[in-house]
Amino acid sequence: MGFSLAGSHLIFFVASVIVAGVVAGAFTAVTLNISGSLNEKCNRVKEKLDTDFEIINDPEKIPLSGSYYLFYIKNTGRSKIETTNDTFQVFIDGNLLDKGSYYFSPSVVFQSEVTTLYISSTEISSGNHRLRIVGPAGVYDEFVFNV
Amino acid sequence: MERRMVERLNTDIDVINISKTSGTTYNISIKVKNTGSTELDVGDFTIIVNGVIESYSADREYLYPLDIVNITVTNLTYTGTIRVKVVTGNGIEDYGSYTA
Repeated sequence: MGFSLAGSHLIFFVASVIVAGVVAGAFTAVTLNISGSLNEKCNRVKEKLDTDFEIINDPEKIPLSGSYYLFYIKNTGRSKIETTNDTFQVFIDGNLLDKGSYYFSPSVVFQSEVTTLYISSTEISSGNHRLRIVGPAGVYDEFVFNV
Repeated sequence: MERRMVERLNTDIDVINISKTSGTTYNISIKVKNTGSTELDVGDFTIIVNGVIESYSADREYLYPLDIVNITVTNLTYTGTIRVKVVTGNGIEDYGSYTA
């Protein structure tokens, strides 16, 4: 008789310890997961806040070199920017350009430096156009010009 | 970001005069006044003449509020009314023009 009371208490105790352990483990895993995601999000936000650039051309005088129009992109942010046709998407009048029709030189710009975006002249007819370039972390700039 | 925004809001420049030397190949002298309230690194400026970035020299390294820098661009051959754009390191800009 004594065994059944003490035994049942022991069983309840062990069971509650096991349940508490499982719940605590699950919460720890979820907390770690959230913490990792927040950290990642913070890094992305920081990158976005530190990244800024501007198209600085004279809108009425877009230089033409060979078969490419030249657009000057100035890094006005705090971090260096990789300027390649993988890190930047280019739109003319809302149409996404094929990667083969533009390139940058140089391919890295530090604060206050300027890189040149070369866009194939076949992509731009004469008249007014809107250029939109989307860079790392989704930062973008728009520029209306006339050729 | 906030510091950069404040700096941009406090930055302003004015192209107050552009003069040129005589001849078919000439130099221009651009006087730029700091009309904002932040100091500017003249080495970070970008000078665009007739749509093209040109290299330049300046008579001072930093441009403090209300001060004027004299920027010289050499060996130009453009003719007609030529537009000049001056852009600071943080992207603030102003235009001027001259006739050659």
